[in-house]
Amino acid sequence: MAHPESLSPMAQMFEEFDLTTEHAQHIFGINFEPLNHVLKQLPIPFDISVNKAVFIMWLSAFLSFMLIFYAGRGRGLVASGLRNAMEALFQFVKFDIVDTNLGHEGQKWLPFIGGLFFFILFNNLLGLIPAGFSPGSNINVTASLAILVLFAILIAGMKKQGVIGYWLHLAPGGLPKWIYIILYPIEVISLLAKPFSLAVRLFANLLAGHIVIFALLAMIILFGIYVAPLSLAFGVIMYAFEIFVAFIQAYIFAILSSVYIGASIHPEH
Amino acid sequence: MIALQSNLMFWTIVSFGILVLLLGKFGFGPLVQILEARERKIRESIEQAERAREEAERLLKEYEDKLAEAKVEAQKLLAEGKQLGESLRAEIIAKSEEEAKRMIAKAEEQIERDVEQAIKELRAEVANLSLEVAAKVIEKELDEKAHAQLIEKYLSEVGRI
Repeated sequence: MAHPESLSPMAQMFEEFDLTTEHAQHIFGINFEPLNHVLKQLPIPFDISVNKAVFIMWLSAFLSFMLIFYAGRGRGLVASGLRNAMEALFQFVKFDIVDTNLGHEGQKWLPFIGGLFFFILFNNLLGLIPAGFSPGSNINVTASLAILVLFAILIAGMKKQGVIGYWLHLAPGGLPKWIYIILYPIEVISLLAKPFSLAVRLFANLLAGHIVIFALLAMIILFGIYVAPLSLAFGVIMYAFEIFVAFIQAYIFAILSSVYIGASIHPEH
Repeated sequence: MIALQSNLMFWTIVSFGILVLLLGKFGFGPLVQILEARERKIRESIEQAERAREEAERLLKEYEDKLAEAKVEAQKLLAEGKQLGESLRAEIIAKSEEEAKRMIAKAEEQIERDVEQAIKELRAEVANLSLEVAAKVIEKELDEKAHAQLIEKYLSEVGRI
C-alpha cells in the first residue's frame, strides 16, 4: 500500500472501498482490532477477521430478522406504521417473487428468497448511511451469496429429479445424439453463468453507484470550490438514485434466484 | 477490490445462513399466518356483507310487495266505504221520506178523526141545545114522532152550514 500522502485525492477516496487497509478496521467509532486479535488465536485455517463490511452484514442480518420478527408479533389484523411497511415488503416477496416463480412447491424456499431480499436490501441501505459501508460493493460478498444460490438451484433440481436424473435432464431431450456434445457443455456453462451474473450485477451496480457519488464529490477537490454546487446537486440526485438502486438490486437478486430455482424445480418450462 | 478475502466470504455465508434459519423458524411463519388470517377475515366480511345485502334486498322487495298490496286494499276499502255510504245515504233518505209520508198520513188521519169527533160532539151538543131551545121556545110538548122529525130537520140544516 502506498502512503496516503503520495496518493491523489481520487485514489485516497477509492481506498475507502478497499477492505484490506486500516480504513476497514473501524466503523461508526467501533474498533475491530481487539476482536480480530482474539479471532486470530482461534484454530481456523483461514482468515475470519472482522471488518466494517462484516459488521454491516451482522447489522443487516440482525435488522432483517428483528423487523420481520416484530412485524410477525403484531396483535390484531390491522397493521400500521413500521409493521405495515414490513408486511408490505413481505407480501411483495411472498406473492410477487416466491409464489409467482416457485408456486406451491416453492413455499419452503420462502425463507431463503426472503432472506436474500431483506439481507441485500438492508446491506444496501446501511451502505447509504454516511460513514457506513456497502458490503455488496465487494465481490466476495456477492459471490458468496451467488454460490449459495447455485447450491440452492442444484439442491432444488436434485430433490425433484434425483441426483443422476438432474444431470441427465440438464439438456433438453429429443435431439440428435451428436448435438449433446455441444449442448451439454453449453448447459453447464449456462448453469454457472447464472450465479456469476448475479454476483457481478449486484457488485458492479453498488460499486458503480458509490464510485459515481465519490467521483462527483472528488471534483470539488480536483477543480476547486466553484464546482461544489453542481457537484453537490448531482451528488444528492445520485444518492436518491442509490436508494432506488438499493431496492431494485435486492429485488433483482431475489427474483432471479427464484426464477432459477423455479426453473430447476419445473424443468419442463 | 477483486482479491479473494476469505473473512468476507465466511461471514457472508454465516450471517446470511443464520438469518435464513431464524427467518424460517421464527420470522415468516407468523407473518404468513397473519396474512392468511386477514385474507380469511376479509373474505368472510365480504361474504357477510353480500349476505346482508341479499337479505336487505329480499326485505325491501317484501315490503314493496306488502305496500302495493296495502295500497290495493286501501283502494278497495275506500271504494267499499264510498259505496256503503252512498247506499246508506239513499236508504236514510228513502226511510226519512217514508217516515215523513207516514207522519203526514197519520197527522191527516188524526185531523180527520178530530174533525169527525168534533163534528160528532158538535152535533150532539147542537142537538141537545136545539132541543132545549126548542122546548123552551115552543113551550109545548110534542109527541115523540114530531120531536124526532124536528131534530132531523134541524140537524140537516146544521150539517149544511
